[in-house]
Formats: sequence, structure tokens, C-alpha cells
Amino acid sequence: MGLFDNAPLIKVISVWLAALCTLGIYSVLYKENKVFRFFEHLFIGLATGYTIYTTWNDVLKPRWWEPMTTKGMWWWAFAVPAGLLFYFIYSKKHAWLSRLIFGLFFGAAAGRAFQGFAAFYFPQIRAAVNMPLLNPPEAAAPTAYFLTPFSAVLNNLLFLAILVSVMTYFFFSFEQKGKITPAIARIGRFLLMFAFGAIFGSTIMARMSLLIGRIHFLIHDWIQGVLLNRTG
Amino acid sequence: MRPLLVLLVRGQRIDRRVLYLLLAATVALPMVIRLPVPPVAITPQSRQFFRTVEQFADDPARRHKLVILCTNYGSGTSAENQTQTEAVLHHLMRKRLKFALFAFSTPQGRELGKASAEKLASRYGYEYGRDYVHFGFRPPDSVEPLLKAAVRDIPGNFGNDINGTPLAEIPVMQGIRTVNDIGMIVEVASSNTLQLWIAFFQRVGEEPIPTLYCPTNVMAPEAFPLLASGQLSGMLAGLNGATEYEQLLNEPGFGSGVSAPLSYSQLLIVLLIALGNAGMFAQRRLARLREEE
Repeated sequence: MGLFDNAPLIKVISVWLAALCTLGIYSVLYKENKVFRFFEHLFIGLATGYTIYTTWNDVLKPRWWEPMTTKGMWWWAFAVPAGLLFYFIYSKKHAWLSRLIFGLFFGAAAGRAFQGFAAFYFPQIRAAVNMPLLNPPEAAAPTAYFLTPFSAVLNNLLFLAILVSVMTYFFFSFEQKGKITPAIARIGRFLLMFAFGAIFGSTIMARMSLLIGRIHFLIHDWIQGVLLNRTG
Repeated sequence: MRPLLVLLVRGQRIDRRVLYLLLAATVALPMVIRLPVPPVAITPQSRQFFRTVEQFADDPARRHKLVILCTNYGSGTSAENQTQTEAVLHHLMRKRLKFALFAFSTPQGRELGKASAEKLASRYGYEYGRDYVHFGFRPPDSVEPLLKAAVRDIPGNFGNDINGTPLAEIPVMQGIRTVNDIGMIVEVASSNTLQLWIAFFQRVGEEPIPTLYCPTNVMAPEAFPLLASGQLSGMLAGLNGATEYEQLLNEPGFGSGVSAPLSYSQLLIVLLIALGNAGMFAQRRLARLREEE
């Protein structure tokens, strides 16, 4: 029986390896050290190697190499010199060659960016200007908030007030003078701070989730599952 | 008053490693000892996510369509994203919906999505090829043109599955040709990949495709305008969103198991922020008192 046929042993080894990697990476919390550096480089190497394998296996081999070498689609060979044009950027004399391929990609990306912007933001602008502000809708449209018709209108009014005040804060076309405009802009600034606070809170929760994931692994899979041989 | 101010100022000089240790203990303790934790409150966006899947499954005109489940995350955020993926897979498999896995943000997502599906497949009697398929990984830069082309021809443009089999030959792909044969998009993400689906795929068919989003908690606040505009039909925000979904499905998993550490660690962070602020104000006050003396 080969080593890799022994599933429980492989499981134990992989859990030990994962536990050592986790502790090695977390050792930086004490101070910068060589163990951390080793595991950091190990992860970067693994990730790069796996990316190369996946790109070849899922993309280049079935979509480029095999059609070119086995299905007679010889014209795919032109992709190689086209791709190599990028590298002429390192030559002062022949840099113009790289601009050909860069230009092609810039043009395509610009066109797609325009379509992407319109498709992504226009529905949001439409939703913002279509909100009912006075008459409670007979049947509230299905939204994320499941509000009653009255509270939906109240919510929409609040939304409009926040939208106007925040946009006023970012209005730099002329100097904000007088009492009203700077006051609205000031409210907008405070509202932005609320939003940043919410984002910060969410960020903390996300980071905690990652820490919890690793500590759960160390306690449940490594200490209880392998060291104490208790599962469940 | 003065001793309290001095104590608060001293609190600011606590070594960060002590704080890390305190945090690790706060997370670890509820995993070992059962501590009280408030019941999970279901947010509207999680409930809407659940209803969207239910409505899709109950609609005989749509339920035969393919659900695309995109696993665009790596092992770094697996505590959040893997829990979300498994919660969604439970629902899809319970409702016997056919789905396709796909990853284009990081190659790790390809493997993590596959592992989750394989883990649950035997329990629900799901079989690869018959009930679900894996489109594999595509580099992120190639996905925009891929999605645009796939609008008219999905099997032709996605080509082969993860094992190299042409999609046209896979049973679950029979009858799946264009964007109109896609019933739902579920995007589990740790980076900004949702925009591609919304911009190039969601609204180009005969009717908009309901799109569901499972971001990490960091990304969730930015997605709320998309819920209000109807571009998203539901969202599971991070680990707590996944926990809520487990509750809705009555399927306790990793999220439900760690809701106590999540709650207590959040409490500790709030407490430390409050103490830090109090220390800062105490320092100013002490300086003023010294000036007055």
C-alpha cells in the first residue's frame, strides 16, 4: 500500500501542515521573523504555481494549444507573436511595436468600460430619481427593506436629503459661499463619516471572521481532531 | 478624577501583543466553553436572498434553467465565502436546481467551489454532469469578452468543463444555449467581480436575470445601492449573512457554530475603541490640568 493510499494518514499530515503554516504566518504578530518570511514565500510560490497550472489546464491547453496542434486551427499560432509585442516596451528602438498591441487593448477596454459604466450606474440613477416622495405607493415595490408604504416614503425622503447633501459637499464648480450651501455640505460631510463608520465596522467584522476561521481550525481540526484524537 | 485619567492614559501604552492575545482568547474561549449568545437576527437582504431562490424553485417556467454559482474567492476569505457557498449549495441542492460552478477572480476559487459541491453532493444525491457542472477557471481579464460572447452561445464560448469534456456533451447542459437559459446568478466574491455580471450579462436577455450576491463583509456596504435599484435580488453579507442563511434553511453549519466568537470579538473591539478614545481625551485633559498647575 502506498503512502497516498492511506487517507487518514494523509489527513493527519495535511492538518499538521496547515496548523504549522497558520502558526508560522501568525508568528509575525509577535515580531517580524524568519519563520514568517519562509511561510510567506511558500504561500506566494504555491499560489503562483497553482495559477500557472490552472491557466494552462483550463484555458491555454483546451482553448489554444489543442485546437492549434490537433484540430488544424493553425492560425492560433499568430497569438504568440501578437502577445510577444508587449515585450517590445523594454526596447527604446522598437517600443512603437508594443504600442500597436497596447492600442488595440486600450481601444477594446475603453469601449467595454463605457458600456459597463452605463449598464452598472444608469439603473441606480433611474432608481434614485424614480422614488415616490409624496403619495405612499398602493403596493410597495419589493425592495431589500420590506417597508410599509408610509415608511417607504419616509425612507425615500431621507435618501433624497442624504443624496443632495453629499453631492453638495462634492460640488466644486464654484466657491461655496453664504450660509445654506456650506451648511448642507457640512451635513453631507457628517453623513459620509457615518457611511465610513459603517464600512469600518464591516471591515472589522470581516477580519474577525478570518481570524475565527483559523482559530476554529486550530481548535477543532488540529487540537481536538488530531492531537486529542476527538472528532465531532 | 486624576488617578482615573492616569489609568486611562496608561491603557494607551498596552503592548499590541497583549491585545492580540486578548483577542485570540476572546475568539477561542466561546469555541471551548458554551457561552450565551443572542439569537441571530435575520436581515432583510438575507431574507430577500432566500425568497428569490424559493420563488425561482417554485416557478415551473423557470426552474429548469441553469443557475451560475461563481466562486470568486481564495483560501484567505474562505471563513466567510466558503460558509456562504455551502449555505447556498444546501438550498440549491435541496430544491433540486441544476447549477454550474465557475471561477475567474482567483484559481483557488475553482478548487474551493468544487470541494464544497463534492462535499454536499452525496447527501442530496447530486451527480456531476447530470445535476451540476464546473466551467473551471478563466483569467479575470478574459471574462468581459467571454461573457459578452456567451450571451448568444454559452457552450461554444465556455468550451470545456473542468475535466476537459466539451460542455455540449454534458447532460446538465442540454438545452442551455444562450443567456435566456440562465435562471439565476449567484456571485460569491472577495473582490469586485460582480460588476461584470451586472454590466454584461444580467439585462441583455429577454428578461433580467435575478442576481444574488455573497460578498465579504468589507464589500457589503457598497452593494446596498444595488439592492435598492433592483440590480441585486438579495445579499448575504459576510459570515453573519451566511449564518443568517443557515438559520433560514434550518441547517446549522460553520456560521452558526461561530456566532458566539464573532459576537464576543466584536464586543471586545467596541470596548477597546471606547477605551482608546477615552484614553485620548484623558491625555488631553491631563495635559490641560498640568498647564493649569
